[in-house]
Amino acid sequence: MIRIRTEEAFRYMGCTEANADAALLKQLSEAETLLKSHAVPQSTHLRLPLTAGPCLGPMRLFGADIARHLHGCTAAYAFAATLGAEADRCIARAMRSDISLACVLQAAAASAIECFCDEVCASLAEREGGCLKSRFSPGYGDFPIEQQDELLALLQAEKRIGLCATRSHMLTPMKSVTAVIGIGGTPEKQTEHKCSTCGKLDCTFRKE
Amino acid sequence: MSCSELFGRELLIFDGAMGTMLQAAGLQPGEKPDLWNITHPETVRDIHCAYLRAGANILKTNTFGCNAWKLAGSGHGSEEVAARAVQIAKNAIAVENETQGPAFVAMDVGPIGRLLSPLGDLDFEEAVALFSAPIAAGKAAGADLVLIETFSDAYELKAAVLAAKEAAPDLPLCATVTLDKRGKLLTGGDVDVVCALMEGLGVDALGLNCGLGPVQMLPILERLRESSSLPLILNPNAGLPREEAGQTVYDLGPTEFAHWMEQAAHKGAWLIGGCCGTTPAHIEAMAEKCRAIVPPKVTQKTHTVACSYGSALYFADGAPALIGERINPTGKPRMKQALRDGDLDLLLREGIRQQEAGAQALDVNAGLPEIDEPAMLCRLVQELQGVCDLPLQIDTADPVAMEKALRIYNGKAIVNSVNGKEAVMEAIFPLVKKYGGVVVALTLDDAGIPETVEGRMEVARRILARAAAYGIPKEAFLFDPLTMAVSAGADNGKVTLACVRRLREELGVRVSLGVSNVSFGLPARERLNTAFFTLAMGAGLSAAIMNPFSEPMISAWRAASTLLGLDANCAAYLAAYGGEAETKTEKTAPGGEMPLHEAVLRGFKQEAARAAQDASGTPMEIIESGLIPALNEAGRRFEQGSLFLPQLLMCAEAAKAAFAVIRTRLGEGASTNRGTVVLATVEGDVHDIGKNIARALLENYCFQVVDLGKDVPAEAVAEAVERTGAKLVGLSALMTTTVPGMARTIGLLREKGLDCRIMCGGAVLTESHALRIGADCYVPDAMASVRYAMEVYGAAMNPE
Repeated sequence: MIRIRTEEAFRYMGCTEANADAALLKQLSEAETLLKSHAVPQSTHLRLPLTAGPCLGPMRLFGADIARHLHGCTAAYAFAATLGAEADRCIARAMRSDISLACVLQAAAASAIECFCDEVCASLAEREGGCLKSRFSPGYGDFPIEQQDELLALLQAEKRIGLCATRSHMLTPMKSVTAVIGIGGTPEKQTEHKCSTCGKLDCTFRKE
Repeated sequence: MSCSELFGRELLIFDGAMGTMLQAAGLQPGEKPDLWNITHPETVRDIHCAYLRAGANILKTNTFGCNAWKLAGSGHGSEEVAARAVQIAKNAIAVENETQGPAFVAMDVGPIGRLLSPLGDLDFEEAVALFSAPIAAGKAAGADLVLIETFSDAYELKAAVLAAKEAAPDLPLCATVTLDKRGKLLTGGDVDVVCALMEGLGVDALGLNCGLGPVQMLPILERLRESSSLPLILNPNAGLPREEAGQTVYDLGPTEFAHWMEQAAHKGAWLIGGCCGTTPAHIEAMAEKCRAIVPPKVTQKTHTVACSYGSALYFADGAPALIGERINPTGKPRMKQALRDGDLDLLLREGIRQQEAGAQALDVNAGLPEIDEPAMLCRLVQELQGVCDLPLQIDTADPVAMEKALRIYNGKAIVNSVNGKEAVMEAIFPLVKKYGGVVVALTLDDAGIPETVEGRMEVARRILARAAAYGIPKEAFLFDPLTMAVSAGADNGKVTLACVRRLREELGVRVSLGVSNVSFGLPARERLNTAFFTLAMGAGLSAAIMNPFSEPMISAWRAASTLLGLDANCAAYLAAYGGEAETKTEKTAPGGEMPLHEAVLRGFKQEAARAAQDASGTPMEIIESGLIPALNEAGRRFEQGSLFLPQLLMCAEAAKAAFAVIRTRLGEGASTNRGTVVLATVEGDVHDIGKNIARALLENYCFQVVDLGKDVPAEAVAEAVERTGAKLVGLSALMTTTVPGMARTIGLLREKGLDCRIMCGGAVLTESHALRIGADCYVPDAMASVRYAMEVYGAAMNPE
């Protein structure tokens, strides 16, 4: 089921719902319809023990930021999700026929994949009695993006949900997420979120 | 004896899962199973032996991930691993010399693990090469057949099948795909697409594996049987997976699995086995239950079907298929210029618009003498398939271009065309045999176009006979008896229509026409074309190459369909024409025309086009006084934060619509070119929306943009700058991993001493970093790139 958070989609476009005019709202609605008929959200996950390293099962996780994030967790999920190749094609098509719609579609798709991930994670959290950390993806902080391939291999993501990476470790299809999700550990404060671990202080999308 | 002689004659038992068994023997998550051929060969052999004892006739080699990409860094090559794997399987057969029935070794080929371009970054031929190496090694080591399995993308599947056909041409070829619950590939194709594609490429058996259990596969198997003329394969998982105590467990035990596989055999599966979660116990129970079953005979289907990766098009009794004719430079100066410039935007938009207008397939023609047609046609086909899922009709007279395009086409194409000339048939039929295709066959030959109906029928018969010698059946054809201009001969229309009838009735072949030619030389062409089209529909036309923007043609098509009994309850007709006449546009300002400036600023495309049409003054005056000030204002508001990106882009789209109108008033040769800008997303990077936005705005400001696309090697950027003499290059990169590609590109441009400035953009960049890698300017957003371009080309941003 495709859902988008309007406020989030607008944020990705660099504006707020308050600034949006009727034309923009109409485009967002069009984008949502397109996604509903083209996106095929799928996810896969694997629960593994976290041992010293930290190591997620057999995979050593590099970088201080993820180690700090997973502090106290004894297990974690390897996780991957995608909206599928057709969603990418839909955006590519819009880029040729209506670039304004493409921009809105891009933002809507970004929101859609986040919403989908949140839904899946919510059900995983239920299983774990509510103790699930936020998603930590390759590329966040000093968690090397190069570890993308290992994470995908661990999950057999390519076979299960058709998710691959390019030579430069970009996920394809593009509207996709991979992450390590700690179980248990120190409960996250309300204000803590992924932006806090990121070094790009001048990012227009940074949440404070 | 070749095992393919047994396909469809004797029930054959495939083995079960290898991965599952290796995991039970200690394989870790993420560890490469293929390497166990080197490190634990006895374990692998013992698993094969267990399956043989369970009754398997065909062993799949432990080579699912055996390709150079997946094995990179392991210290072992794909050829080495493939050869070892085949040896181990053959060894197992030698050890278990009391197998029940024949035993064969299938060289197992799984997906590479990367998405092909244009969605991903793996080049088609690179994929073919990655598949070929281990297959050749497997064949040399004595594999009896090739099994391509667990593919969920039509394009990658095609690459693998071609690789097998080229590296191991004498080995029987089986192909199974993974479909989801809806019966679709991950990239959208359904059962019909899979059958059309696979049968066109000449596999010997096809079916499903993985993803689903036998219960979910049975309904899909039935659909496969309706579509396919080949023996069917079913290798399901042992049911559906669930998590139990941190382990993945499949929910069907051997007895239940065997029960469902028995159903499968009765429903037409001639080769049965198992995938994930199955064990020798599953295979044994299944073999026990099914061994004596004789599945229903395979029947030959006589469909005429073409497909893209995502949709299949049947040419059947019923309303003719509409093939859009508009992507063709003949008589279209703007399209010719676009092809010369290598700017495919115009052609791609035409494709998308034709689809929206109702075209069911698209003719693609890039025939222009001064360009490299094979290269351009291939690029056009690939890019078009990146944005449109309609089957394509490859239209070229150059056999080299036809071969290259058919090879990289994602699906089973319509081939335009073959005819009765010996040389043409000799050139084209082998291509159709190799790559598959529905062939448009023109009833002309070396003696020209026969004047009589019988003359054309004679050519048609000859074409069919020659095709049969290549093993190409009559279902593969769309015969085109040629539409001659009625102005050149009063009976021309009659002759063609009579041919349509006779081709259908006597030869039982499907018929296509390019209807527009009938009116050549006469006025009010659309009236004649429409009537001719309607008459041809009555005579049994199966496909028409036509202009889908012609409202009279489309309505004739709908009306004739309804009259020929093809529209139950007149539903389609009512859906199209019932109710009020559509309002022209909901954006029309009530009571008055909107001036150009306002239309652009408010982002109203249609109003902008109309205003440009009505505006007085020279084209340059209109641009400078109407368009540019509006764009400047929009840009100002954007930079101030009162207008947002999507709204800015709506202004850009409106300006673009106005430009299209103004350009026709400018006439050919006149230029609005402020200067050339080369844009590219750098090598290794596939994100291009930022670059595309920059392009839209730069074009608005009359810059000539040469857009090289994404994942562009540094050399290609340098070549484009040299070729066009551009003074400005714009580079985009999204990620830290691709910024080095940007640095390399800049380095190369400087090294070659090219006289150009370089601007860089992308979310990961900062000004200091951009300057550090040698850029002249950092552009944080699209308006900044316009400002810089103006500066480079010495133009004033706000002419007073």
